[in-house]
Formats: sequence, C-alpha cells, structure tokens
Amino acid sequence: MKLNLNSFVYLIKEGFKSIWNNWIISLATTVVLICCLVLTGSTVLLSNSANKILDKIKSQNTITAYLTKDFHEEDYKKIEKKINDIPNVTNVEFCSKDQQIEKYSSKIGKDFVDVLKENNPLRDSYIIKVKDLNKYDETADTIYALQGVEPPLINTKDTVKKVSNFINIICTIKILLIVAFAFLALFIISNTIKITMYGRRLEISIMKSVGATNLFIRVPFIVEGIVIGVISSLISLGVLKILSDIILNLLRKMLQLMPISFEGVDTAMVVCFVLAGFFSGFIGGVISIRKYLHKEGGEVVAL
Amino acid sequence: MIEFKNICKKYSNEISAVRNISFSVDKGEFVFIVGPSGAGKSTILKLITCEETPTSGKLTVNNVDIFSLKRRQIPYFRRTMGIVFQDFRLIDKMTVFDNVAFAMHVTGASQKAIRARVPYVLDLVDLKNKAKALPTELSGGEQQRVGLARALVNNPDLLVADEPTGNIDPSLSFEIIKLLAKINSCGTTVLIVTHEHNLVKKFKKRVIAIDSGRVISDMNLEVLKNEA
Ligand SMILES: Nc1ncnc2c1ncn2[C@@H]1O[C@H](COP(=O)(O)OP(=O)(O)O)[C@@H](O)[C@H]1O
Ligand SMILES: [Mg+2]
Repeated sequence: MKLNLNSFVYLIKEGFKSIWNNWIISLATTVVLICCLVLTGSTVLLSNSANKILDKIKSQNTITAYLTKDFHEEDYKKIEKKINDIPNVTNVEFCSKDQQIEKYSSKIGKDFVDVLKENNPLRDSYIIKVKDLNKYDETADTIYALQGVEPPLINTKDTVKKVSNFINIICTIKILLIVAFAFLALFIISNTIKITMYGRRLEISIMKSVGATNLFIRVPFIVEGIVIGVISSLISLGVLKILSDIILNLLRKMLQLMPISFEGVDTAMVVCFVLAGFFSGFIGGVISIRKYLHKEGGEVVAL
Repeated sequence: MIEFKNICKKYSNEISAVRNISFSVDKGEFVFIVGPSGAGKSTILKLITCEETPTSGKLTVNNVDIFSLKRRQIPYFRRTMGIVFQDFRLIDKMTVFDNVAFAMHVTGASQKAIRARVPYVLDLVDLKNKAKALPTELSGGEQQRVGLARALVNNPDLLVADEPTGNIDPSLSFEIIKLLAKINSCGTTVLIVTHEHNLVKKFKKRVIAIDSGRVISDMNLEVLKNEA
C-alpha cells in the first residue's frame, strides 16, 4: 500500500496541476477561507489584547484613592496610617496634585502646567500597593470606606470587572467562531475537491482499471486540499498582520494616556493557523473522495 | 489462466446476466466471445477484471481465486492484465505519450523507465510519430491503438477487450484485431468481446458464443481450419 518516491513526486505535481486547472474554483475557495480565517483571527487578537490589558491593570497591583478635600499635614499622616493598617496593603505612597500635573508636563507643555498649578483641578491621592490580588476587591472596598477617601472617577476595580466581562464575551465568540470555522472550512474544501473530482472522474476510472491503489488516487486531492488550506492561512495571517499594525498605530496616536495595548500576530498564532489550514485541507480531501473510491470503473464515469 | 466454474451473476436488480457458465482459457490463447446485445458478454469481462463479483461459482484468473481476493489487493491484481474499452477512455487534455505513461505512473514506475518503455509500446502499435498529439487529433482507429498501448505498457499476462472495434470504422477494425493477434503471438493471452462476425470468421480463432447468460457454443476455428 506504500507509495514509492516516484509516485509521491508525481502525485504532488498532480495536486498542484489540479489546483491550476481549476483555478477559478480554487481562488473562490481560498477567498472564502481567508474571510473566515481573518474573522476568527480578529476575534483571537481582540481577546488576546483584552487579556493583556487586564493583566496590565492587575499587575500594577495598585489602588488609587483620592482625598475628598485638602487636609492638614497631620490628617494626611492619620489617613495614611489607617490605610497602612489594613491587611493586604504593602505600601502607601502619597501623590500630591502638583506631582500629578507634572506627569503631564511633557504632553501639555510646561507653561500650561504652571498655570494649572495655580488653580489645580486635580486632587491629592494615595497610590496603594496590595499583596494578594485575589483580595483586591475587598481591600479596595475597605480603603474607600475610610473617612476622607474616595475612589477615582474611573475605578480600577470597575475597570477590572468590565474588562473581565468583555473578555468572557469575546472568548465565547472566539470559541463559537473557531468551531463554526472548522466546520465551514471542511465543508468548503471538501466541496471544492468534489467538484474537481467530478471533473476528473474519467481519469479516476482509468486509474482504477490500470491498477491504481486508493491511496494513489487520493493523494492529489489531499495535496490540493492542503495547499488551498495552507495558502489561505498564510494570506489571512498577512492580512491580520497588516490590520493589527494599522490598529496598533492608531491606538498609539489616539490613546497615549491610557494603559491600552493591542496584541499583534504572534508565533503561536502563525503555527495554529498553518496547522488549521493543513488539517482542514487534509480532512476535507479525505472525506470528499471516500464516495468515489467505493465505485468501480464504469460507475464512476456514469456519475 | 482463466477458469469459470458454474459461475452465476445476478445484478442487484435481480437480472441474471450470467447463468451457470463454465469454461477455461489457457495461457497464450486468443479467444473471441460473441453473442447478441444483452447476452452477458461485458459481464463476463467485468467478472474477470474484478469490477463485479460472481454471485456463485468458482472463478480463477491469473492463478488468483477471485473470492479470496481482498479489496485492497484488487489494484495489484489488475496490474497483471490490460483492459481495452469500446469508448477508448483516453484523457483528452493529455498527449498520447502521457495517456500511456499514466498507466505506468500508477504502478510507481520511474521517469527513466517510463521514457524507455512508452516509445517502445507506441512503436508496437505504430504510433511513434503521434506521441505528442492529443487524442482529439486522432482517428478512431488511432485512438484505440493508444488505448491498446496503455493496456500493454505494464506488460500484462492477459489482455481483455470489450468491443474494441465497436466505435471505429470497419475497415480499421481489421487492423486492430491484427495488432491484438500480433500481441498474442508474443505470449499474451487475449480475450475479445465482439459482435462483428466478419472479424471472427477472418481470424479463425477460438470462439465462445454466449446467449442469455449461457455458453451456447465453444469452437476452435483454428483447429477446424487445420483439419479442413
Ligand atoms: N450494472 C448493472 N446492473 C444491472 N443490470 C445490468 C448491469 N450491467 C448489465 N446488466 C444487465 O445484464 C445483462 C447483460 O448485460 P451485458 O453483460 O452488458 O451484456 P452484453 O455486453 O452482452 O451486451 C443485460 O440484461 C443488462 O441489462
Ligand atoms: Mg457489452
């Protein structure tokens, strides 16, 4: 049942020839597959990015607490001590409103900073580091319950929750898309191969009459499926790379102040895509020829 | 070489195409199978090539018991025989050379072997100068000679042909059968289904007549010719 090298080389050439001879169908299949893959890939990238953002927020391990008004020196100390006494808090750092303004000086200009300092709209705050991230919510609640302290307008705690929810939704969509894509890819590839096979049914019947094994008949169609699958995956990786670069640049320009990052195409994704293309082509090729292999000479021609 | 012993073949639609047929063909024989349309001639050939399996009886071809043949062994079994079709079954987009080489690729032959063997076989059927032509550029007789070359290229022990002259000019039919006789004289067993009585009479070989799925006569005209 084994193929020798001569057959193998010949059959691979035949597979490529078949794609070339049916280039319209091959092209249409490739385009549809690329659309599916790009859609799925975008979701994967989106969920990867969301995860990254969540990690970033969490890794800061900090809770920002704003002071409700300006206090005297000793009151600051008191509040700071109270916060320090809360279990799970490892470090409390005071950050005055002037310091906060300074951070932006490079972006808004020194002169403007000086003007702002006269009538600073910001408030003094504490940057609090926590030890155990799992107790983040509890600790934050305890801090905000203290007198003279309140959460920031955009609460880190809420952001974490929102991002988590977002990630859950994206993950569900991602899994649904991947499953749908797997079926669609198999369906499309196997149908394409069925069409080329129908065009070559005379050839198949002759092959059988001169003693071709089923494996021999199969290989060109499997090669065809694999080539279409892998080419589609490579092109869609290229499209995703271009898309993610564009988005990345836009985000960098627009959202300099926010802790948002966008994940591009990585090695794991390249490997997954190529494997997905390979196997959907392989399986599509295998399932579509089964029907033909159980038929004999004359029956194949008569189909 | 071929032995039919009480072979019956009933198709799935309950038609009995072959009813209790027994005959045998020795190595190196040249046999015509004749009979009216629907007599079961093609069915007999399909049983030999394992395209159909007998419903009952015992069938041995090339020393292989058809009933003991496993599905995956059929391709290798077929490589021991050459099959010629009434409708030629050539691939139109391939040249004459490639149509013949095709049968060698299937067996895993090397390019070198193919380049050596195909011209030799094309020469045998007198088509050496048409190697680069497409089947559509050839006459019916020439197309059938390509079919013949393809059947011969793997050097089979047995050649079966189902109405090989059915689609070609009667004047050219004679040439085809002559070619088959030449191949037979080199030791290949040849089995031809035909309903052209002129040919059968001219060649004076063994003739098995079939009607309604039964053998109605089995004569060797060669012997008769020699005795006369
Ligand atoms: N695949 C098939 N299924 C059902 N009946 C068939 C099939 N092939 C042939 N037959 C029937 O079997 C009988 C013999 O057919 P065949 O062997 O082709 O005759 P011949 O070649 O002598 O004309 C005919 O009655 C035909 O209708
Ligand atoms: Mg017939």
